Amino acid sequence: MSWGRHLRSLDWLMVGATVALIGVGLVFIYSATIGQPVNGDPQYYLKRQAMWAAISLGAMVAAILIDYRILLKLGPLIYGANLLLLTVVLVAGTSVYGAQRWLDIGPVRVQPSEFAKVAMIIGFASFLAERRDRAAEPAGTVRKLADLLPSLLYVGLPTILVFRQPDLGTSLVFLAIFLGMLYVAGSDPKVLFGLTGGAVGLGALALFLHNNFGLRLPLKDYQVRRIMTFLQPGQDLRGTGYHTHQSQIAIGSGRVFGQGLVAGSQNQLNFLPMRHTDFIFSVIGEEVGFAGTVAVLLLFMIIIWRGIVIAARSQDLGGSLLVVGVLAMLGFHVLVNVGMATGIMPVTGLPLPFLSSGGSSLFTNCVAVGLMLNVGVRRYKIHF
Amino acid sequence: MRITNSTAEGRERQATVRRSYIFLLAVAVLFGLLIARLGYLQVTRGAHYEALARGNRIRLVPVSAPRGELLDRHGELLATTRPAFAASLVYMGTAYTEQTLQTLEEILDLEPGRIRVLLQQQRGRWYLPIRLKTDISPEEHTRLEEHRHELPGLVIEVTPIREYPQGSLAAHALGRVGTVNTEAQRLALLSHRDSFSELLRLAGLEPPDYELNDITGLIGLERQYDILLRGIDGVREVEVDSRGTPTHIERENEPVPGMSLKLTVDSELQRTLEDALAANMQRIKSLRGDHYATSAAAVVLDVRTGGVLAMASVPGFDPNWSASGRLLPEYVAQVEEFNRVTQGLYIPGSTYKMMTAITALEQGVVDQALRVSCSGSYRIGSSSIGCWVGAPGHGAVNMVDAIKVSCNVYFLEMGARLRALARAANPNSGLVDLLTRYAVDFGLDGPTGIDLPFERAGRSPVIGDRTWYAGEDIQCAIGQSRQEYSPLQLAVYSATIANQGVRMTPYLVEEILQGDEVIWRARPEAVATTTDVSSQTYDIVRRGMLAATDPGGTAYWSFYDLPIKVGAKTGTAQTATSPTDGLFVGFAPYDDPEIAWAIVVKHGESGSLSGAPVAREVVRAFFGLVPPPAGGGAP
Repeated sequence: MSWGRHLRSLDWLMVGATVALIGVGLVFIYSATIGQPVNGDPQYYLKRQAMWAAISLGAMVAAILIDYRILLKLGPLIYGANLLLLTVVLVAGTSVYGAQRWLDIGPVRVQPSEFAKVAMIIGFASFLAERRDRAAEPAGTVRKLADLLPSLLYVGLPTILVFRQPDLGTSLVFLAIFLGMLYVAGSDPKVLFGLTGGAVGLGALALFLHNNFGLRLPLKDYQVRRIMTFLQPGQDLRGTGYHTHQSQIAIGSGRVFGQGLVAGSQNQLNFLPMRHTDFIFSVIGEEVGFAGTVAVLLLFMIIIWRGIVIAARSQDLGGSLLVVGVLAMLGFHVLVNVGMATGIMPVTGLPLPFLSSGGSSLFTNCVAVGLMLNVGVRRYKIHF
Repeated sequence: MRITNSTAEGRERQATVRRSYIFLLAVAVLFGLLIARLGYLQVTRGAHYEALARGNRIRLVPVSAPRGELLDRHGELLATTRPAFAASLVYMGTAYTEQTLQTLEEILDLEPGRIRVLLQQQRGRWYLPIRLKTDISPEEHTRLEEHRHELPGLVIEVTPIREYPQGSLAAHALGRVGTVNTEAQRLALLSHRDSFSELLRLAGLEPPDYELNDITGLIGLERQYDILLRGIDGVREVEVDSRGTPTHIERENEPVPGMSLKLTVDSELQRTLEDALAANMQRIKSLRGDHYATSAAAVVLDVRTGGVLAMASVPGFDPNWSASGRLLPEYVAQVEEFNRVTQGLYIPGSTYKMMTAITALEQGVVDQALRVSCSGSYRIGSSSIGCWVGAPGHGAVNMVDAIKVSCNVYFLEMGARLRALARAANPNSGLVDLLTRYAVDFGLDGPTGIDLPFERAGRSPVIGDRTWYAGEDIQCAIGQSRQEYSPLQLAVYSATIANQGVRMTPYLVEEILQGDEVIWRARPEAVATTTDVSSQTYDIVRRGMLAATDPGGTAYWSFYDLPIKVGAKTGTAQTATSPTDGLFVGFAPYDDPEIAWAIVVKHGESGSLSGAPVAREVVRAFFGLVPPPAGGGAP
């Protein structure tokens, strides 16, 4: 098998959409941070993101090169290393904004929960594929709640570690990956949806008891406040609701074609909080309007569509699951982040893949796309 | 291509593929929801959010229009505007700490708690700066700058401030400005906004609005012409960032400067009048005691136009105190700012006798030859009223003599005759009805129509439902009954006699200027009225007034050495409190009158003591006479 064939079978549409999103991200990170120079450099964030983009694209190529089947074989090892890393963060991590999510490695500060997502996807894909191979029943399926137990334990362990940091957003991403992969693996949707519905109901009940009867929740105060703000918007415009309110103003004021690049007043005059990270989508909405926001969503849609095509053509279940896990992760990030910016989701602090400033996230997402491409180029059975 | 080696595995593959596409469909549906939401925010509600974004970044800051100037008839500056520093507080979205407020109050020398009160008043309009103090001193300015970092929201702005270069001169006519503090004040100002709408329309201006904290005329001409003087404030659209820090000025609507007013007032004459009044009041106090000459009012009119040449009310005030936002206790302000010329009512006493003379002559109950014998008192029924001169009286006096010496007996006799005449025609009427029939034409019934706010004026009484005692009725003949008039009314009455029946409406504004251009000029002749009184009657009455400044006349000693013939009449009014009020009306020159006046000194004892010496100085100044100042007037 030649490299030429590999190149030809590479999904260039997915590559193009990814690179385009990274480019859009660079433009709006520039626009969002031009007014706040770091160490006198107004392009500090732009340069840093560009550097990370180069590193991440390199990592993406690396992720294509190593045969995903080898990675799947290493699944248990990767899973174990991941658990270890998450434990180290809890014990020795650096706190920022009251959450212990970062690990300082030399001059670089990384966020292991970002990498944990990919590690989890590889591990869980190998776990499910393995079980299917061993079982008499086709697929690593779940027909009864009891069948779910091993998977639940497998994903639950890292999820709890991330939740303890605390990082509610990422633990919800784990949940999304878990559901997406199990569904495609052939689990009974009734069981999955029953489980999800039950969890949401339980959460609502807990929140109700917390508010009315002072039940202690394993959440931080700000997390409860954010959820309450989401449930009762407009109640606290100066406090917790401020971000969402300003974000909606920014997006809405962009109208159809936007206020123009580097010309959004909500962005440039500092009304938008965290605008180069979690609220980058609001900047896009303000400066390039509905046309811009729809274009960005379409780029994401292209990645997801191409991903599904790869999953469908994959020669083995492990490959399909790997792709679906990545898509569940990306899709959930986009839904929650854009939902948050437009005020239809609570503020959870999930970055927008490829666009939000932040090296760990960009790196992880590029590796994830690399994995999908990896499955894509190896969709043919190879006979040595 | 795909090689399936068992049907079970093939089915499984198909299931995976189907589920993958269902997964894609689910994601697509959710993305569709996001796009729908974006469509709602950006397309449907885009304009709304754009307005909100604009509201976020744009603050409207009013730019005060320079207030129009007030000039005297020769162009001397009476009120102008100068730039001053003002300290204001801009609400920063945070509660002010007690510490901040205390520091501010301490530096600006405000009473403790004052800023809290201002904040309360501003409730609901916090986007406007709250003016703490206008015209801060350089020391205060420096201290504020030093403490700036601990005083969030403090702004020091340059603001136009009203200045009256002549101090208290003509203060009651000019009035003063102040801030609109309450909604009630604002509505009151708005309610009389329409009075100048025609003029504003001609000048191409919209009637301005009033806002809380606006500087506005509160009394005097400043209030009457406020709409024209204030101009139209500009608006500066300032872009601010999320912390409210201005980033740049987006747009600015230039303010339209207020119009200026050229007055009829002659500031030299005004100064003379005020000085003479003050000096004479001081003289009376030193002669008679401190309970004499407690307050006074004097006004000099241009006989031919009705224009006010000078207007003084004592006690006075310096309008500069309020322009800088300093506070004067309300009760002090009420006493000092009360314009006694247009708002004080006084019993006219003998100054009313010309009215009786005119009525008697016109009704034919007397001619100029008839003499009445004055023995010093006059009997009405069982009581008797004394003539001021006492026994043995003035002897036989005709009309001219009676005015000259102010003989009560003569005029009481006229009153009795007129009363009899009135009752012969209608038993339910009396002297006052006849007097009022003529008095109305002399401006002695209701407001004169001067262009000043809050004018109060006396009405001429009539016999209504209530019974008048004969004595009450007849005493109207000597102005010592139920008549009460403002000094301005008495001046108009005096001027009308001087003018032989042409009554002019008194006014203060000669010209209205927009920039250098005169856009309105007073046309006094348009509002002149005439009386239905014969010229012979005027001749007799005027001769009587001239005689009053002749030897033996009540005002001789104030005018004997002036080369100008003056017609005048003294008055001494008994009021509820003694000593008596002194009144003095008159005009000059006798042959071709140019000025007429009325002077009232509360507890001034008599007209010749309190009013005549003041009138003398006015005549001297107006006609540029330079004989040595004479001593006091004769009693």
